Amino acid sequence: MIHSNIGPKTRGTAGSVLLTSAIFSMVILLGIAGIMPMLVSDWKQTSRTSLQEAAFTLAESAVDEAIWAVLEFEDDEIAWRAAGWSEGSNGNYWYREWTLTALSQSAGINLELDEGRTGRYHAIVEKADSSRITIVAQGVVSGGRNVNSETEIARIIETEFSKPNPAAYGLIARDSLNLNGKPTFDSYDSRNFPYIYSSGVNSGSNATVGSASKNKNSTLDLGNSTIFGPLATGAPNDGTDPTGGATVSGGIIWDFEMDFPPVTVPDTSGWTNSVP
Amino acid sequence: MKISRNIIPLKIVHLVLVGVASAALLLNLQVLEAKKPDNPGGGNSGGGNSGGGSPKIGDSTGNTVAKYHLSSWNVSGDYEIVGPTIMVIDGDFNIGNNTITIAATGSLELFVGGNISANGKGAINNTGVPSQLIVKGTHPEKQPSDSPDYSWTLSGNGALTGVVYAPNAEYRTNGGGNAGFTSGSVVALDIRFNGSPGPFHFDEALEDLDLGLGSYTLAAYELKANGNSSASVEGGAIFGSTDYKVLFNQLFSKKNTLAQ
Repeated sequence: MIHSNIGPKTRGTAGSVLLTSAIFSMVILLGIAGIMPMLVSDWKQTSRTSLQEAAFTLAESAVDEAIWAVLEFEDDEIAWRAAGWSEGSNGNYWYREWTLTALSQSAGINLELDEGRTGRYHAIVEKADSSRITIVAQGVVSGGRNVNSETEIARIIETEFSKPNPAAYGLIARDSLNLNGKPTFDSYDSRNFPYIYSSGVNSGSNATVGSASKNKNSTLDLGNSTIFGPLATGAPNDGTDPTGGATVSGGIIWDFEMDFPPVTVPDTSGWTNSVP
Repeated sequence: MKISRNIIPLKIVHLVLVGVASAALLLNLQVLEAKKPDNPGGGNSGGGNSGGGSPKIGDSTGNTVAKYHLSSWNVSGDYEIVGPTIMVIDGDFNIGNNTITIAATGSLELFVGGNISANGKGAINNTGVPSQLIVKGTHPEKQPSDSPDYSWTLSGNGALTGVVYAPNAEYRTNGGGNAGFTSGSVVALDIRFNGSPGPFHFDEALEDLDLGLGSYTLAAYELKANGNSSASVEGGAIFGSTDYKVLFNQLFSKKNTLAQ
């Protein structure tokens, strides 16, 4: 025996479930709609960060290429040009561009970035005629999936490379510095004309005089010297005055450290063994 | 500690250049330079100590480098270095009372394994710029506390304009002469100034000198970020632009690249 009043009661329950589902779905949709801008923003940020990281990596590749060229070609201008570098308009630097597309073709393997992005990198290199050179590199990434092909992201890195240059200071002893009499130490710049002793014309106060020894008591004797520049000592600052009877215009450099690289004698095969 | 000294402004120096030069001659002041060199590697006036009929060493055209390997060199008479020259001297280098002049076209790189000495009016590169003369000591390695076995000694009016790098030898000036001086840069194991030593003048142009004592290593690194693409002071001077983004766009112009 089936009672006919069961049907309407079941329909009423089903309608309630449907309504609850609809309300629940609405809440979820509203929630999704609410967080959608944030998700899009995060996606854009992630995409942008990815582009920046790719550009940074390319810029570092440019630095590597540049320093390799410096070490390989040095001041051989013919070699620089033969390797594809161009000279800057003021004659002070070389510059060059690489593209991943060209590198891929040259290497015969795919070096392109993911998601259809294109990459290229540039370097400008100061001509290597001194102990310090500046290299500036730029990595550029453009396009990609869902990104306007005109959109580019770049990273720029400025670097300085240097060689050991013990001549950059003035008068430096590895160990003892013993100044008797009354010597005078000053500086000048031979690029500026003229320099005349004792008259102050073009003279400067940048002569560093000192010792790299950490034991200043037994190694530093400045007598009555006059130093137009700083006094350097490898010793730590112990609160005492290391100048003694000297006059020092440039203050004290404590914990002075300096490299003393060994000298390599060139191969003299075939050289002349007597002077005129 | 404090020293005050009157420094004549550069502009004034240029204005009174001719007068100063004349006055310098009249007053017997020591003029280190008579002409600004055209390049870092060379340049002196050649005046005042021309060497006359002195033997000349080197190729004045600069096309070839003169290379000498000597067991020792006891200098007899004055010499003039007129081209790029490299000398390896295994033993002693005695300049004596002679003068070795380096002409505007010349340079001298010396590798010396023994003692170096100059006395009386003995001088080397006394009218040039320090970067024209580089002297490297090739003496056996010493610990800082060791006594040096070799020395560079300037006595009397002995004069030197150059770069001395002798980390295992002693550098000594014995003074006694009014004309003696050292100009350039000196690095040695021990350094001693005796008597009435002449003045020492450090050449600030040597701060960028390449002494050939090692390879390039990274000294400074800066990532330009957050819209900053401005060049450093040094970079701006070298590359002729204060903004790298602008420079890159000029050199590699394709699009308006964003420096992010």
